[in-house]
Amino acid sequence: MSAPARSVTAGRDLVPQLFSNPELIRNVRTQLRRGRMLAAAGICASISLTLGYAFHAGANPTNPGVWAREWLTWMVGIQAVVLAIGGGIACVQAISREKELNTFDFQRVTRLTPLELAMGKLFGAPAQAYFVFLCFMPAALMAAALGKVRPSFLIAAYVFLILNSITFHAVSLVMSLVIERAASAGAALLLLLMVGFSNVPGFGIMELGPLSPLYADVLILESDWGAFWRATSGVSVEFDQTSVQFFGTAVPHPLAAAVIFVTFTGWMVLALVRNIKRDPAVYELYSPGQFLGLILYANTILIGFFAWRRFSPLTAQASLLVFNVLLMGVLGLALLRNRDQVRRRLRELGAKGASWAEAAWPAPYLVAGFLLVGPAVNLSTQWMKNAAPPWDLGLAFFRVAFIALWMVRDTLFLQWMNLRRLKRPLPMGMLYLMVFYLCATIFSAMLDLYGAAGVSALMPMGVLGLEPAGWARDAMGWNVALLAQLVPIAIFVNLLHDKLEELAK
Amino acid sequence: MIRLENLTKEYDLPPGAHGPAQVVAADHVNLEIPAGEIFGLVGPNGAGKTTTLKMLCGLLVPTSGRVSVNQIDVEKQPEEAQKHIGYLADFFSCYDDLIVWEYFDYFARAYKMEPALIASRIDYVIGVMGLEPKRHAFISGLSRGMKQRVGIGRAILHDPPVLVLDEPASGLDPKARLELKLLIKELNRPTAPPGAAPKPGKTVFITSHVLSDLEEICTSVGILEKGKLVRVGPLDHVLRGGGTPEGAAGAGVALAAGRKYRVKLAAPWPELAGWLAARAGVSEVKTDGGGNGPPGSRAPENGAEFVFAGTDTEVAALVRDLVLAGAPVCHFEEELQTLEQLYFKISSGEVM
Repeated sequence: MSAPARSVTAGRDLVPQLFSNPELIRNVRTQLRRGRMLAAAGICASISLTLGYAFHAGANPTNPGVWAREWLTWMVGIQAVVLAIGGGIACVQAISREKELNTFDFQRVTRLTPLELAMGKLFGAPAQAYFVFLCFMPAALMAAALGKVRPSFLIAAYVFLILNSITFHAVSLVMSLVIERAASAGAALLLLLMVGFSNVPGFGIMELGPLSPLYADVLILESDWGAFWRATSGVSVEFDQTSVQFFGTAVPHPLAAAVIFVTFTGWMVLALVRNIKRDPAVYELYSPGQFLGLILYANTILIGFFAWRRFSPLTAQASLLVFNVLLMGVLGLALLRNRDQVRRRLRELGAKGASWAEAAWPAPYLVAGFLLVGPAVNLSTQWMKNAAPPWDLGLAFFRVAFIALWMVRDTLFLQWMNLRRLKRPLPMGMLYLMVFYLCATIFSAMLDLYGAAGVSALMPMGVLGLEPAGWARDAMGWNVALLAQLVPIAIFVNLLHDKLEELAK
Repeated sequence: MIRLENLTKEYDLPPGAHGPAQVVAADHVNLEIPAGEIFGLVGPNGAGKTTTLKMLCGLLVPTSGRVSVNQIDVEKQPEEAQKHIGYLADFFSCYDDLIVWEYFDYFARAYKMEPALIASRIDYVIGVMGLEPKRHAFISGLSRGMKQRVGIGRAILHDPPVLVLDEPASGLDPKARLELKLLIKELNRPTAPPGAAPKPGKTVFITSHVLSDLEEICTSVGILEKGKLVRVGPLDHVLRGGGTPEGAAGAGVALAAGRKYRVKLAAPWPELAGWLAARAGVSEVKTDGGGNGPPGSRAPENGAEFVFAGTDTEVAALVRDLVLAGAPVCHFEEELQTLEQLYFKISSGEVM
């Protein structure tokens, strides 16, 4: 039982003492063993030098320096892929794999705070990606020097790249937290799609340059900061990748992107911190209040950067509503309760737990979300719209109400499915919805009825094609369609009430 | 030290499974374990032992009820409560890419131990768990039993007052099992370091399918059957038929029926059966041999088993009177059923 005298640090420790987060240290220790580091450094050096030689060999002697700038864009592109995607995939596996190995519970019972654990994983899981990123740095700096790149853009590009990667890492960690075991491949694929989609400037609807890590190799070759501060003319309908406008004020794209990355990462970290040490059966990404805050945040960015001059007012409103449908859909899913959570509420609240108000969950928060978002979207459109007709504020509010009831209807259906005793109730519910909409679309297209009031009661997206003329022609039909949505809502609330009573027994 | 109040956990069974749609893994479990106890929780697979342990550690949220450790509500203040708990799961992995000392270093930091104490504490744990030869080995290269030692070492690393051990002997060879029993007893023993205040021993909450091991080390036990605690209390009390859910009344009824004793004589004494039968409080007398056996067999009346309903003082008086009556008593003991016997009786429905 006597304690041996040897120090624990007798072994070779490559971890700098600077890091004090235990989870970060663990990740660095496991990923950055000496042999692995040497191999990675060797591979990176070989790739860097080979690319440098290739560009130098094909250089145009009349234009010296161009080869180095081309080399630089390749190096930065590789760094972007390694850090954002490689690190992101490591983050996708960070928690799901620990759950699979049964090591996650041991982290949950330590005294690490949720924030410490989340930060340790956010910066620790991609440790190897950071190391490889750094291994490419000497060649990138050499290329930048030979290509006479402006240092301020060099710094800006790397700040953009690192902040962007941290954002994708945070999203990946949230996915890793909530996915079921063995679903990490799907989550990694989703990450790749997100990185790809973020390369579309402003996601096609905002006056914002790309938010992809690959934008760093464009930014690094810029030379004029003044261009970033000049408002666009308003004549061009093309997306400007330098200067963007936030509520009509010129803002440099890299600065806007950095603010978006930091704030969005903040939301992701909040979700992690709220849940990382919880029992997975009672995960709740955000509280209802935070849920409404996130909706407001997302709409502020969307409306602020929206490309008003590119769309007619009704199309602009429809685009904003479609975005909110996606947002409410995702957050509505996050608010759904499972059988475990409902049982707990039933035991806590007693008879109140099976009340009609409980049966309507999470409808009140979706309605509250649309009550916040609807006026914001409509009044912004009224204020910011271009001159293109047609626009009718009354119709705009009707469309919001129609979409809101649709979201409530489908979310209640998914809530009901989630309380059924099935192996994977939520994916099954989503599959049923997809099949329903697919079949309904085919039938309505065959009968040439898509967008008609009667059909839109089933497929509410049709209301987004409704224009003032059609609204005036069949206002009664549309009002009936709006009210008809209350029928399935009532049915699902009733079914949910029955479920609550069943679980209360 | 540990208090479970009306602790309930309901689960859904997978769809398609026969029987009810849901199972109650813990059904209004009430339990209070004082500091310094070694409490053993036994029950068949699926009885709810691991679920109860996980709720105790704050890893699972109960459907209803409350758990507190050292008067700290585990659900409301999980990190504060977990400071007091060392937990070992039944099926677990270690971080295979870490070296043994790095693994302990990680958890020492994660438990926020005083940095100045970490090195000496790791040295102590490595020593006490017999891991010194493996100090610089990767965990991936360790045998199952060695990994189990690493896991137990992690549970005791931060010197918590409460140890929650789920099947700690699983995967250990007989020698390691014996060492584990000694270690648990050692950890449970109060210490009084020179010049320092006496330190109470650790409270241990342990589950195991090796009931004989539990019987050796536990001071109290609970038997869990389909989520219900059907017996709970001090070990000898439970083994004598006490500790029923009805509490003291139930235990009293069981004890009033009497305890079983065995007496052995150095030489045959024909009056033994008659003497015992005539004694107040004695019943169910069975003598050894029982008559004229074949040559070489045990002589009759050289021992007996009987049930006696009386206090320890009355037992002492019975022994004294027996000796004074001329019986050559060479051995006298109370016969307790083993935990295993009791467990099988309960699980087969022989006793409820």
